[in-house]
Amino acid sequence: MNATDVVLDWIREKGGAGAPADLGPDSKLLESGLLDSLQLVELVGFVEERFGVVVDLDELTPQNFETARRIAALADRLTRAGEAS
Amino acid sequence: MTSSEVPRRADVVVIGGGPAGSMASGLLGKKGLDVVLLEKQAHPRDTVGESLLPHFWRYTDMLGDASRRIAAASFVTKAGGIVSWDGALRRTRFADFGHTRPALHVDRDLFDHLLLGASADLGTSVFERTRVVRVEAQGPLEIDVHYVSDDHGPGTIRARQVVDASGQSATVARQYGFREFDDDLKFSAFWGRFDGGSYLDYDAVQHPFERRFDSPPVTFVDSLGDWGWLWHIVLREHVSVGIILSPTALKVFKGREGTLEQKFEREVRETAHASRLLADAPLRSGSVRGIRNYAYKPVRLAVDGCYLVGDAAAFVDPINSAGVTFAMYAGALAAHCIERSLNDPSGAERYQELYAHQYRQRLEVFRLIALPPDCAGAADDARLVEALSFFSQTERELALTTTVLTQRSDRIAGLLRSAGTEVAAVYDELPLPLGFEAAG
Repeated sequence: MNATDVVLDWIREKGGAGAPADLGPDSKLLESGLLDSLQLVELVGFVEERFGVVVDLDELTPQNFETARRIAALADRLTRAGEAS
Repeated sequence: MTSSEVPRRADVVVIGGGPAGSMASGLLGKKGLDVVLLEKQAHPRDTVGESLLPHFWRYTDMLGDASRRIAAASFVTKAGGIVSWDGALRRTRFADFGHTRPALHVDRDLFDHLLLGASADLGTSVFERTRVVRVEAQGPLEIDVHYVSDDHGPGTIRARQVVDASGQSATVARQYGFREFDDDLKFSAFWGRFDGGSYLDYDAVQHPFERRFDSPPVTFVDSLGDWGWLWHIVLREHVSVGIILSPTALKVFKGREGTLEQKFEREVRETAHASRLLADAPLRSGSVRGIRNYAYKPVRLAVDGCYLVGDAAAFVDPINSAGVTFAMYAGALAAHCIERSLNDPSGAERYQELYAHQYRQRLEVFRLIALPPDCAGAADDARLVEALSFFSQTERELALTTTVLTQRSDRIAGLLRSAGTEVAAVYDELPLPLGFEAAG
């Protein structure tokens, strides 16, 4: 399973019945309220554990968390940075 | 609630059994952690802050069967809000923002008692009549919490993490000396209880108090000039009325003759609209309370393993009706960060910072919503735009609507445009003068 799907699965599980059927890699998570402030912090914890990375506070931007694709890109970038160092 | 001995060790000690404390303790207990909650009073106990946004269900749903208990308690449903502000009369309701579950007017003695009970059922050991004197960080994940209990005398609990949910007592902030008043929101509040009278529904139709469960009332706000205002909130057995006074209005108020109760009653009975709703309603003797300069800043939100939540962290302004919901949010956020810290102690410092960052961002938006126009003291634009970018479209609409209804700073409209979305306030204009058309 690729990182985008991992994130989407997490959001579906959290959203329960509230998650829309057409939820996709580019669905706007913040604007729609699918990812609220509390879930955002839970998601940071999940991403850190699942991908073995550390999300610093300056990575906690609306751009990085706008869509599942963006979140996966952040996880990939942090993984590569971790491997490089 | 508990009569056993206070333990000497705990994973987490929570100070205070209001909504923030019950939320944090309940969620940590649910995760199997060993949680002790110390409450200085004995529940049920009175407190103010009765108007709840429908968002609160999102948090009570996480707390065992709290939502079921609340639904069964027959609190008064809130139909929306009508605001009379400097000659304009406007109304809004949560259904228009897509909310399907009701906003409520809750009697806080019962509401808080239900939440604390739900937390206890999830494993929290609750000790009432137990006041925390001070906290003392001994090392990483070692905090001594010194208390005095009416039933057990003085003692100390060694905790790995602490949640300060002590409300306006602000135990940790006072001890560390970082409780700082907010000079841009220098208001004072006085409140009391009236018996009966009448209220307005969403169509501004006037009903007798006895109809409160049949035709849901609105939270009614009446402006008093100089950014002061009055709230009229219908509860199960009485009506909560409060006034917010500017420093100038406070001087006039203090200069009135008589006792605090008489001053308060005159002030309320001189208002344009609320006085008519309360015409046949006596003020309940002994019910008037007050607080001066209630707003204070979130100087620090977490320190030395202590998480500050709800009113113990900061108090903005009651104009948004967001206090209780926001406190529950903070309790849930703190619980999450604490759980992670205990699972991975090397990250404890970072989770504390993450908590403070998230919580502060939202506090700054709530403060912006409450500020009167021409206040210099809001956070800078870039920070606020980033904070608002994390808000959902519905939250943005609600934030904008609140400021429009109470004619506050229009700065938020521009910031929302910078955050990249067109947002319109959702409200109706009602005809003036307010007719007080009697039902039926």
